[in-house]
Amino acid sequence: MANSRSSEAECQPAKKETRVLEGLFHLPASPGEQPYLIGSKCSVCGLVVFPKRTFCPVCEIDKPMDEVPLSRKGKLVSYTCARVPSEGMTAPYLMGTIDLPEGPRFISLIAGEQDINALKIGMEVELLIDKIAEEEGHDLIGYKFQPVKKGQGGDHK
Amino acid sequence: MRDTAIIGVGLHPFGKYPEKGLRDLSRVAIWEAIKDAGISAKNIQVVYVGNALGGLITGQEAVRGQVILEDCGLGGRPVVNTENACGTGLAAVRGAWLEVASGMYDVALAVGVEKMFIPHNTAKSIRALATCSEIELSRSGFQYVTYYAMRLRAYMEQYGATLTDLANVVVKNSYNGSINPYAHRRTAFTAEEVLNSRMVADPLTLYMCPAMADGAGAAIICSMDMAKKLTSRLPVKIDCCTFRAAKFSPHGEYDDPHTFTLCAQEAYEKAGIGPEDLDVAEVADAAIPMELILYERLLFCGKGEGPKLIRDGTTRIDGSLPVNTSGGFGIRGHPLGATGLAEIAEVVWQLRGEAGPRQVANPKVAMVHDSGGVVGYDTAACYVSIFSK
Ligand SMILES: [Zn+2]
Repeated sequence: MANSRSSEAECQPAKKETRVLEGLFHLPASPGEQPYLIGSKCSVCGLVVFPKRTFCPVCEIDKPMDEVPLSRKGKLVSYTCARVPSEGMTAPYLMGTIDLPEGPRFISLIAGEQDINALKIGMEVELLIDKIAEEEGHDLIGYKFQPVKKGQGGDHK
Repeated sequence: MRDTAIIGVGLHPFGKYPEKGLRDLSRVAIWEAIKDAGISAKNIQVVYVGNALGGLITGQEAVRGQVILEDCGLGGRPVVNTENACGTGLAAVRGAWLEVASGMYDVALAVGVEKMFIPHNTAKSIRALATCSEIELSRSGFQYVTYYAMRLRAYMEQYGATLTDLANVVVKNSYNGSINPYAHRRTAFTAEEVLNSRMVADPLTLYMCPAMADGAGAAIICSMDMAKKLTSRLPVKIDCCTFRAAKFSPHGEYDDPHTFTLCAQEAYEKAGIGPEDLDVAEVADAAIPMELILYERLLFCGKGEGPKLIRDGTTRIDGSLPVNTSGGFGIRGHPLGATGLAEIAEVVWQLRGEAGPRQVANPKVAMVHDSGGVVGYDTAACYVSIFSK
């Protein structure tokens, strides 16, 4: 996913600046690497949160949390299709609520399917880094999740 | 804390007013409230003005309250500008209440105003609304209707609520709105019409979601002692105004006890009542069917029993606990800063017996719930107030 994106960018040099939603995920530096979301882990109570936080919301003590890479696969808790776009978006687009095994629950755009009927509560989804919106004429790169296709689940890690 | 009361309320009708600015909407509501209270404007000692998105929508980023009050002829007083997303109106009311309850002042004015409707640019309004969250989320296509759509889909799966249940909340509230002259939507919909309106965020259809509306509201808050001296109006007592942001929990919005429940429990305790004592309630149905979940969170019923209250008519105007007799957020309209003031106006009218065709039979105790924003996948600001006569 990430490879095809970077080669695409090389084909259209300097047409537009690409912006990245900073601080939420690790972009692969080399072709063999996988992207991952960046969470925070509390060294006292073990809580893992996403997006990252500086201090633990449970312990409420002056001890910064540690940045940790999060699992690339999670579970779809709920989903919808936005039929009216927000600024910078092209409707329709799918959105989901994602649970990661480390604990965080959060909202993400859903890729890889156009049809909402293909989505099911409880299905396995995996991370990809992709263009998520147009922002003042620039491509904004962020994270999405897509349903894990049967037979494609074992090709990483 | 001393006893306080609301002695006057006023609204500018909610709807689409592209030709009107924040000042135009506010001045109507403010002077209506002053007239309603039957006091002189000179009695007002302090003002709280709630507005959330004026900077993004109109460009008036700062000193919004002062700009509004100067136009109204009400300068020269302490003015506090408040913002708390969809809870902005109650933020203004709570501040004004504290000024009076603490004994600092005797008479306070709370104002809430919002411009939401931008002709031919709903996307800009949606994006402005989405900034009531962390900026990474609002930059990633997040919009509030998708948030509620996902929550309701999970609720349907968990408790067996049906699409018809969702639609019937709209049937109830749109009937209420059809007899409220201040409501944005004035049409009573059938369940069929609700379900057949175009899909906005599955399973939510157009009529289940608030349309972008402008509006303003105002309330005069007064010490109980001063109320008796200033006006012959029935003072509506403010029993409490609880408020909190969500405390972290792993699944946020989905976890129990929800912030709304904690806030409601605190409100019941402070007012010395239970949910069974409520006669009427205005709640924050930012997507109309969310009312089903709010019934549970505000302890009107047990877990999973929300649909029962719609099926058996409990929350209709003629039911045992009428909810959103004004039409609620989705029907009356939800201009963020103005919404809380419209909720308060409705329960004041109900408690005074002035709600006209929407009048509930002899109500004595009312709840206003207002909430807004998303931080850490949970509510950023929840307010629960109890009023009585
Ligand atoms: Zn901790």
